[in-house]
Amino acid sequence: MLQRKTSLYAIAVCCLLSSNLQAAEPTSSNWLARIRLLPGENERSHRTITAAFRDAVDHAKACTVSLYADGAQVALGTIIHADGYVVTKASELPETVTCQLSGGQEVSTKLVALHPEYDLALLKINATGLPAVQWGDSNKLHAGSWLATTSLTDEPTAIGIVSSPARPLPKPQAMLGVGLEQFGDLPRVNRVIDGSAAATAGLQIGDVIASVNGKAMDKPQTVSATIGSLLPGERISLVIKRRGRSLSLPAVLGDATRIGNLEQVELMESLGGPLSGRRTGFPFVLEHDTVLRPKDCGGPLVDLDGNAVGINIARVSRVSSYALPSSAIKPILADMLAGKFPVPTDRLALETVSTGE
Amino acid sequence: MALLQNMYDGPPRPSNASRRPRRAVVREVLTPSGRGVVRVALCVAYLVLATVSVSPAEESRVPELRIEPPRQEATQLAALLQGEPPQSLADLKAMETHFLSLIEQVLPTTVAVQVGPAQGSGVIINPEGYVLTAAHVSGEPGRTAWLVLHDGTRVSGTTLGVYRTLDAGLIKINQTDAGRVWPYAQMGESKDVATGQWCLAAGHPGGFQPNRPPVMRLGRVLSLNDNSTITTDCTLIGGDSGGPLFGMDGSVIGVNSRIGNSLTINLHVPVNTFRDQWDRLARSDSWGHTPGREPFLGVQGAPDSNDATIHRVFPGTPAADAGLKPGDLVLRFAGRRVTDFPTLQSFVSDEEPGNRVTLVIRRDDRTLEIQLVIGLRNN
Repeated sequence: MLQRKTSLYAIAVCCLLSSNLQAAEPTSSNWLARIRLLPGENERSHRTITAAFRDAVDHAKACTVSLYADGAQVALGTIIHADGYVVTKASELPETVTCQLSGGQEVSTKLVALHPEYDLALLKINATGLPAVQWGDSNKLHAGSWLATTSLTDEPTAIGIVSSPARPLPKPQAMLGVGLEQFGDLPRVNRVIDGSAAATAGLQIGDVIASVNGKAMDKPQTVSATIGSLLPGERISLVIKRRGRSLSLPAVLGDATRIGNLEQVELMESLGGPLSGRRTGFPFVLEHDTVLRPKDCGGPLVDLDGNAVGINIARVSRVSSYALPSSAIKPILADMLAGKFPVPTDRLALETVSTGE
Repeated sequence: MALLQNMYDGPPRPSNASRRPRRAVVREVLTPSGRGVVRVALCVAYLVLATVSVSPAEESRVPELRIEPPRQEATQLAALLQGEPPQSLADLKAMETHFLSLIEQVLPTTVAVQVGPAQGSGVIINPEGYVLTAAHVSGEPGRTAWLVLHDGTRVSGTTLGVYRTLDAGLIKINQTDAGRVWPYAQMGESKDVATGQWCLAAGHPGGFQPNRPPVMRLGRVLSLNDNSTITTDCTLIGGDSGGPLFGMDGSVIGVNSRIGNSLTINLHVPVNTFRDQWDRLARSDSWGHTPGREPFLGVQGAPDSNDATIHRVFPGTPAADAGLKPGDLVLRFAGRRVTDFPTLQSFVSDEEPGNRVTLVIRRDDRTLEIQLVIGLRNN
């Protein structure tokens, strides 16, 4: 029974997303007018709308920084302490970043703390006497509250509303995408899910899984437990036995919460721009409908009173961005400032596989 | 002239194409999609998740909606909601207050819908539990639908009619509990919808998630296309299909249908489609074809004769594969009597490509049954 449950778990990611690509009739006479770079006058993101948010972002814009590498912005950041502490999205940061303040001044940065679960990095920047962000209460937000993502200028980067109030996200589950059965004293593959990590890695029905990351496997449960202890996007090495030969296969684990035909899902989700590489696994999120680019994450998300109710942490799909709600991260930021989350010597642990671009 | 009056089988083009000169009709039928201008990929997504929790139905009552702005500054608020640009934080706050109260009231009317492998959304529009959705979510009449209400309550329903051409579908919640009143939204008037006005789309993007209520997206109406679609910048994705588009009075003005390759191409079925076709939808008719999936046989006949004689069979088509020949007289199509060529054309147009049908024909003095598979017209 247990074995059956385990193999069901392993294949519980069955994917039945069907989607049609269809041709549209360009029935509207202003069809071509809609293909353009600037928003049309009737669009939500038109300047006549965003300009009304100037007063709302007036304070928070000075608490917003832009983080650069090789002359290009990689993320926004939020000043959380006057002595030059900036929080941002960790997984977007290369080894060295320069910080631009809202006044235009450029300063160097040093990574001083990391919180991998929330994907937050704390940077010490080479400046003091800075305006720190004013926090609002994210618990007071409801679906429909206006939100502005600040920029370094008078107008916000983008605006939107709360789509769904703050909630915990289910823990991400890594997935290989095989069904397993007991074969002698080893687990044997009896099903390979189309489009899964296993299929991409070249696993076949009948393959016996001898080891995962060097750890010997004796039954399906061992494989499931090992995979279950890892994160989506992690690289693993498999040793398998196929027709009497031993083969070594690398694989990149999939995400069990993103079931379906991944190519189709990715295609649909990205009909509207690139997505953040790391966009799952945050313990607590506020889902909003602001259209962000991955490089717009890391900065403050403010309400109409100009208070920061969150830090933008990911562009998630065509319809959603995630912010870490202020109520959830204020204690964490305090811990990071207090030195409780030092930077590990091996930063590779942060690497995730980006699929958004 | 007689030749020009030949008709191809397959559906007539919707909208005003049929009023154009015959030659144009033929061209449109053969190349229905923005040829040479812009080809926009539209996705219709059916998301299937294994995460819908099974829980017994629970009581849920929400009163009917009546949303009115506060009397003070109501005129100014009304102008803002129609698309007048906000001038100040006070304007934005007035809009926000309205959004918040509107969402609080309409959110319970939005449901997650699962029919077979397809997962989408829907909206309850009367106390008896009729649910508007997309035709590509409900699929066909008479199927079991599972609906998850805003609070996680799971109830069963039955799919009623589908009008595939405009992607309109209807579901009725199974009444297991006499007198139960469902939370519902009013059906609005899509003729009153104007470009620039604000609107809210709701649904379950990516599929239902146990601790996530229906997800709201704010946007504006960007265009109205021949009463067949409303385009907004309320962003949609798979799982949203069938969910409501609310106007600022809290009434349903459209139903989420499909998207294009820009964030400003989100298409909704105008709610009047449901009102205009209500009787057929409620009596479980199934008609029309999914846009972009045009059915055809591959025959040509005369529109004005009083029988359905085939004049021409095109090579490489389902008709040719099945052995139909010029001169064959079609008597029945899938059990229905065919009186003339336009009737045959309309029967074909109500089939989905891939459907198997039986034709009864007269050839010389014999009556024959011919099986064929409805083709997908290649653009």
